[in-house]
Amino acid sequence: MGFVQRNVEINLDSDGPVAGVRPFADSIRRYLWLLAAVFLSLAVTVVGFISWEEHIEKSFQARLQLYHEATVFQLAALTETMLVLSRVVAPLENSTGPAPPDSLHRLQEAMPAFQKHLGEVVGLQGRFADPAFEDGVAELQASYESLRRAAESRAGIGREVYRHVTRLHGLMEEVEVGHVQMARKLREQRVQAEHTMHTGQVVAFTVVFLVGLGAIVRLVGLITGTIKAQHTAEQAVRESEERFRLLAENIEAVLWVSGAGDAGPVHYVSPAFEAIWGVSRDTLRDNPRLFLDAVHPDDRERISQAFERQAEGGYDETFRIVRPDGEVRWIRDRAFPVMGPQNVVDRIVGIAADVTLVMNAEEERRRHQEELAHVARLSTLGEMASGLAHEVNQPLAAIANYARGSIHRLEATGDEAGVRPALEQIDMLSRRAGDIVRHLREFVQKGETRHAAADINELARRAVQLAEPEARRQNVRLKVNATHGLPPVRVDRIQVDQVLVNLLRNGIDAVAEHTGGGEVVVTTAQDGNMVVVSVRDTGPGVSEQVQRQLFHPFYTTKPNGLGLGLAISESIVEAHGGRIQLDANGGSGATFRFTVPVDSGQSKDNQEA
Amino acid sequence: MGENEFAGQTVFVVDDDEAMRSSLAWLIESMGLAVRTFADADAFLSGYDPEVPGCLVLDVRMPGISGLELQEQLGAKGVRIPIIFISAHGDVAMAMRAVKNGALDFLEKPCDHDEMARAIHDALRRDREQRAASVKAGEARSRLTSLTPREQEILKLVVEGHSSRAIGDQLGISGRTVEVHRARLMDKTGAESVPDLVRMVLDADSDA
Repeated sequence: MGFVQRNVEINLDSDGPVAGVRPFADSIRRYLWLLAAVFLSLAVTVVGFISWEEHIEKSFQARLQLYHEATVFQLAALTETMLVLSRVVAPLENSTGPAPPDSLHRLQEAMPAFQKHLGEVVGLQGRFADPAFEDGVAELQASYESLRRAAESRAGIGREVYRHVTRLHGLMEEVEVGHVQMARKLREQRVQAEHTMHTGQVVAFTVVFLVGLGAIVRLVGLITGTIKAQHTAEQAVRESEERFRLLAENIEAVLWVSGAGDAGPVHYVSPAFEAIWGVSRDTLRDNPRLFLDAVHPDDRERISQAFERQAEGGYDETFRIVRPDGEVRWIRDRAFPVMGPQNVVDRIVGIAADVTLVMNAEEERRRHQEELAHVARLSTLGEMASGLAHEVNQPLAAIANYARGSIHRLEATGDEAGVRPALEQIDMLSRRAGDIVRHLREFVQKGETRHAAADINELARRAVQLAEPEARRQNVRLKVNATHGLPPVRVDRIQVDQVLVNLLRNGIDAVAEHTGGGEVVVTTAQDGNMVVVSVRDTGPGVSEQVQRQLFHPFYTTKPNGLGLGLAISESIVEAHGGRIQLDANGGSGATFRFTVPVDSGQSKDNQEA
Repeated sequence: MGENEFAGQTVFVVDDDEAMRSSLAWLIESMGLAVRTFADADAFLSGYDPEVPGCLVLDVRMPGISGLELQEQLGAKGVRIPIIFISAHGDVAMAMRAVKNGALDFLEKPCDHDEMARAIHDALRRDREQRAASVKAGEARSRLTSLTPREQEILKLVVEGHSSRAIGDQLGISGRTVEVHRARLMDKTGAESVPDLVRMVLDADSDA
């Protein structure tokens, strides 16, 4: 701090007595010399300071970038825990009673992690002077509070808890989108700010220089002040960076930063990568293509295409990877584009989490559902077996009669043309029997859920064929009231068949028990992008008491029923993204109605369950 | 093929299943027999003339009047047409009931055709015998009713195998008188021998 000392010296000299012109001229000369010296060293310092300041500025910018990335990660981590919460409360969607204890328990288990990440995000408030972000976070906090209260009071209503989590989820996405936009804006302002800051300093310096030496003290103060402020900002950035690093190095998910494009350079990958991928980070850094190569061959094409969307921010993919040891894991990878100075996306930050457990649990749940549905189909078929055997036996017996009759005729008369009508009947009947057998075999098949385009009217007719023998036995007429020109639906044929057979059989039983005669009518119609199927019977309707437990598993009003029909129908319809309900009910019978989605003509097999 | 054997007889088929009905008609016609089909019991009851000789092939399970109910209704009306039941369900209880009620046979669908042919032939023969027997029984009955009470008394004891003397002892008349009655009743009934007489009595009883 040489300035200060020199200042003191000047002050001492100026305080000295002034005698005559010469001493004054001497003084002037001394002053001039001194002034020149001061000016020179100041100039050197200023030049030095400017370049030094530029250096600080650059590193500040770099760190701000990291800081921004860290907040993106915070939000991403928050979203991850959000996902866990959503999964936990999903079953509560339709429950109006108290939330089941195990759901509540799992919810309460999942909440601390969410609270922690929410705290981190809340801690970011005020850093970006962005009202949208502040509002979003405040609302997020409030919404979380109500969720916490609903979950803590055990009397909380299931649907209420679900509603809160859904609201939180929506808010999360708003805040996240808002934040990414805000971060871009901030960057632009920052460029401006940087510019202003730079010229501001020069102007101040000039002004100080013109006003005189006395102001140099202020200048020094200003500079040191700026430097100090710079230090504080730097420290905040460093702390934030430290926090980011702690988060990045310790979180189970992989945080990554890469250049844009499908095999852009990898700037950063957090250590969790090595545990999940089973590959060292250096290997990935040396060969960025390894990321795509590790993707399971069945998913690779899809992910490769998705990479192109990273720069627009539309990247959120769940896929499988194959580790070098052959183990397959599920990854959920999301990416956020980051704008460079030229308003061009110059890097992508992302978070990739190992969701194998979640997917396995999901897979397990789906498999259990499939198995249960299969068992229920077997049981249904068992109950219908004698009627169905008759249905197959009848054409077989007729075929045998035609065949033997034809042999007799040929033996007696040799009239080959005469047996033609019988052969035609045999042809028709054998196809009828084959059709039934094929349908039965399909019905008991235990297979993976396979969604494909199907004609709902044809499905309705097939189901009626299966339920027909029982209807005939019970003296009930079955009718299909098909709306023509319906678009194809996207369903698992066997499962929808199962739903229809369940509803038809319930209808038949209701009618038979009621009057011992009547009808069950299947009606198809379109409602927007869903197709609606109604099954109406002329039975006694569903009593209020039964209605309440209608869709509960193992609830049955039938002496030999398993009580799985409607519960399974409900889970099947919901897995298709539709709804099933008791639509109309009364003395003139009950109408059950369910919806399935219209086929939008997309890819053949959708992985998302 | 005894085509001529069953001339004039008709096989009636009652089955609600169209394919089953038509194919049975095709099969039975191919055996050289006349066939008439009905879609349900009501149609049969209104279209069937008991005077027409033949047999009935009947589906057990039908909507409306079932096969078993039709059998009972026919029995109640005194119609004795031989019935062959066919059923897709191997239902033992139902078969027992049908046979108890006089069904000739109970076949399971799809049935063995030789068995079916045999059953139909048996049934047609049975019908023919029944009709002949019922004619004979009618004749025998009218002959037997022309006997006086004493002659009938003696007839009963003759058929039971008693000798004239034993009959005389039992009735408190002389053997000679029994001989006279016996000669007269042989004459009235037209019987040529005692076995002939026995057969006649059995015939008359058979159609009660």
